[in-house]
Amino acid sequence: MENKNIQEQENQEVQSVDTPQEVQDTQATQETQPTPANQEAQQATDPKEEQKAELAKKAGEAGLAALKGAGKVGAAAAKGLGKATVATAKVAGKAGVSAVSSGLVSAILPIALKVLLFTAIAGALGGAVAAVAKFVKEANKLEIADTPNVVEEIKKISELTTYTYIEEMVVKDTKVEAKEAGMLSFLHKSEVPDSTRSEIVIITRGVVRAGYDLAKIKDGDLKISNDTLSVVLPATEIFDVIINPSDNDIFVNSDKWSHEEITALQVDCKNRLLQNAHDNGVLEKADKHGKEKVENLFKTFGFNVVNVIQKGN
Amino acid sequence: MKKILLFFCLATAVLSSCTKNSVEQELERRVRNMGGASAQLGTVEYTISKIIKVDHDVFYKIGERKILFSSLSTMKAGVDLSKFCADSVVIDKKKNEITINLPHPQILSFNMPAENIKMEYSKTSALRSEFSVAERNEVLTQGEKAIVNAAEELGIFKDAEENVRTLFEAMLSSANYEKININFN
Repeated sequence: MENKNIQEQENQEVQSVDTPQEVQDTQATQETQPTPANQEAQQATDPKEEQKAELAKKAGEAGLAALKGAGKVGAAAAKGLGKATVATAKVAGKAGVSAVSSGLVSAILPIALKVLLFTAIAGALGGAVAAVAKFVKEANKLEIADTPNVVEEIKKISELTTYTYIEEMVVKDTKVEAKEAGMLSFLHKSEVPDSTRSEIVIITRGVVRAGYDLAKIKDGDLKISNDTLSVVLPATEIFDVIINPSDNDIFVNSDKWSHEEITALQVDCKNRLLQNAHDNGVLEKADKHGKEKVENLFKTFGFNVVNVIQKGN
Repeated sequence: MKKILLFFCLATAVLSSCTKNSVEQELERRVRNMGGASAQLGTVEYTISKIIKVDHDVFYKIGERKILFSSLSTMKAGVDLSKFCADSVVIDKKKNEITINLPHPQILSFNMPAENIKMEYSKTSALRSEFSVAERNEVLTQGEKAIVNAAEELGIFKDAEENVRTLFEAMLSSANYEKININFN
């Protein structure tokens, strides 16, 4: 709207200024260079009146032309002004945006720096705490002393293990203990003595190994005739029932469990493992797999016929 | 299609709730059957005693604590014959010679039974907490590993190899082989 007003004003100014000059110019031209047509018109009517009329007509045409020119100039000027105004607005917009962004940056930067600083300090502190924790953990780590392994006995054996039974077991136990009398126990007298309930759960993995004790094969049990071998195998037996410390995962809610109590639980666990192995037919399975293994073993030694006789269990 | 799916879901839910015990039994059965057939020839058994002790003195704690266990364990070594096959044996009937290629001896079992572990000594300062159940087990586990790791130094593999050789030679000589070669590779 403002642009339009400005354009109109420009047009008006151009009209008011330019038009008299054009007219004067035209008058001057007419006065200095009279044409033959004009001279004839002067001769036919009142020469002065006609000349005036002619001059007025030319002045009007000149004014019209001037007006047109002025209009074009005004339009061009207005267009230029419009463009200039848009450009100015754009520049102003950009400047505004940059001003706002610079304002924001100047407002956010200190906060960002503070956050960055805080993060760096927190990170450094966290790292330091973690390093200290790791150091403390390492220092607190239990490490056994280097003591000798004394070989008490060396025994020659001939155990052919043909079946291994593995079981994962869970052992639970609970004990109730009377609470120790505290310093302020005289303040309250209770008929029922205070007690604590202590629970233990041991998850353990046990192994039972069974097979033939080949040392029990007597001279008469092995007979060889050409490419035929006959062997009488002893009854299968259990060689080992193994639960080692590394096989245990122990969970307790209090550490009031003595070494002897834990040992008793583990022995109980071992007995259960052995019983489960028997119930699962570990000896029969050892016999079944063992026969096949022994047959194959002797066949690889060049015997075409291998007769395996099992004493059974 | 939706009805079939719904029926299937319901049937699964009902069956699973009904057979909870059988699922547990199945799990138990599977756990128990982790073992299986094997063919391990154990030829030597070592009985080893070891003192397992810890002197736990930490710079940032006042006082110390000590624990000492005595242990007696058995270790068996021998050869694993599960991969033993016809290719492992070369027989020359003309020369009456047999060559057997066996794997190197290895530890077949290690047993540190709880009843053979005794806590001989334990001392804890007033400002320290006693060894927990888990800590005691950790100490014993380290002792167990220390013995197993020392197996080579103890010479158990050498003995196992020698005994395997003796056992096979005895068996094969009764099969009328004049020359018996036992290789470990």
